[in-house]
Amino acid sequence: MTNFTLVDGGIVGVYILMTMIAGFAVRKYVGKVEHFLLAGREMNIYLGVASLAATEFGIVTCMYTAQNGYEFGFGGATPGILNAVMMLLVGLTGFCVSRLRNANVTTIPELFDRQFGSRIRWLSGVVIVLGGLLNMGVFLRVGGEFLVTVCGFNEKYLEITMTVLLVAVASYTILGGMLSVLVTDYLQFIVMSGGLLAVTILILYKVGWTNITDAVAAQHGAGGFNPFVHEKLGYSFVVYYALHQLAVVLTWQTTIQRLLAAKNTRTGLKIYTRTSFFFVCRFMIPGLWGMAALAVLGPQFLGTPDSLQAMPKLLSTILPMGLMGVLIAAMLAADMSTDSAYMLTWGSVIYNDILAPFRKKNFSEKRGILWNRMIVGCIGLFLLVYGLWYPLQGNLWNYLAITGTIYLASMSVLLISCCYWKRANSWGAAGAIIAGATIPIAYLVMEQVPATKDLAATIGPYRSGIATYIFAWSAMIVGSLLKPQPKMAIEEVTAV
Amino acid sequence: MTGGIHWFWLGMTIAVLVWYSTITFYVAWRGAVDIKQMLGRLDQLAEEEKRL
Repeated sequence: MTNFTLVDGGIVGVYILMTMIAGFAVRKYVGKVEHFLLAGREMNIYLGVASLAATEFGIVTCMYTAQNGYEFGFGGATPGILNAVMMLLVGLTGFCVSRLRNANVTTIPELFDRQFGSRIRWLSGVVIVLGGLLNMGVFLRVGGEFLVTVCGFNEKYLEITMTVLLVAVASYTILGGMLSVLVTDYLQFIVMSGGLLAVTILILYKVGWTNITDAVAAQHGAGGFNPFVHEKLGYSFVVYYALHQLAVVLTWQTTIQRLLAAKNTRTGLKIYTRTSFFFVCRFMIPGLWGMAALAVLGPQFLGTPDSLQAMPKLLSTILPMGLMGVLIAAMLAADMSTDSAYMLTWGSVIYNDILAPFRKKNFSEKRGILWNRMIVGCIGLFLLVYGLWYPLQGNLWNYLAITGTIYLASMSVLLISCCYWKRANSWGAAGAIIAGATIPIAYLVMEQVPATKDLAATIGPYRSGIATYIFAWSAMIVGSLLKPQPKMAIEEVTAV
Repeated sequence: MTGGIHWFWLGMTIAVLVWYSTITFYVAWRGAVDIKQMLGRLDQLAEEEKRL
């Protein structure tokens, strides 16, 4: 039986209509490739804050952070706190990102071209797109499962619902590029935030803070409040996420695209500092929903893939008419903003870095925009096929972190070296890329093969992740030292 | 010790709710101004290019 009433449908309908109108309305401002990919670098602070926050919170985020809350208690929010700390530090110091924005590039690999050469630029583009698309590949199915569970819809409608949603998002992204993404992100931030806050207050009121903390203490003991003493987390979890979140802040393409779209470097840094605390909210709010599910539904889903469904199951029973519509509108807003930004961002790397060597001469602006639109369309098609058919196994957040690590480890090593180590060169860069991709892929394969499944479980995702960063750095240092190269002033590489 | 950690998470939860509600209203207001300025500037640049 469905929990989704006509009133809820009306709320969702009004939201979708407003978003589509706003998304299509700004397409007339797209006259150049730079408008399509970076909004003409005219984005100011608060539009940047809204866009970054909306982009980095999708249904998939809500699902895995709630799963973390259900599985690990408050300690599951640790990656969010680390993310906020790293973003604040980078925003205050300008570490790497100032040089990146000053260089006026369109993507990170374009900066690498200046120090490591065009082959490394191409290879970096491939790694970024591979890691990014594998990461994004599960968004549609997970989002669809959330909507179906919360609304009580028949599962047979999952594919068609998500296809319609993706076609709607792809339409305005293809036509308006970054401008449509920014304007719709702004609307989506407001709708999403209103929904998240309203549902959290209702959950705290109905379930109660004491019941939540009691359930966490009963199930996880002290580990539910302190990740260092949790049996499934520990020091390796915290160290891995400290490295991972620094890499995210420095190189995650959607974050960097907002830095590069900012009016100037100062604006970009302010977007970082002022959005930083949002990343605590991003983990704490759904985490609380997950812990409330533990208090209400009990520990029956712990340690199983079904733990992903605990939070939606709670919401389907607790939300009254009207608030259900607000929540669905909020979650659709979250998902649409994430999908549009991700399609555009991976598209920008494909166009700017992977296809660049195949362009004999520069495209006209019109032709460049057409190519970008076709690439975004192709990414949409890929998502539809991969996203709706890939069977996810194990913890969703770990899958996202591992696939993200495929590029985050090597790209963060390359970026830091490119900005601050004159001796870094193409040999070191190639070694870091290979090491950074090999270990996470090997781990993913080991998890799937029955003969190595147990070994993968013993190593665990956090140690495997830490090893990836260590090997990527080692490869960069050894490779660069093995290939002596003429000195090149760092100022030339990241010249303003 | 455990009590202290409970207070930490309670404080964090309150900080999240207060900060997020405040920033939502503030960004809703200032973000609208930013969009207006961004589109105005793009219009102006397009006009200048046409004239050239």
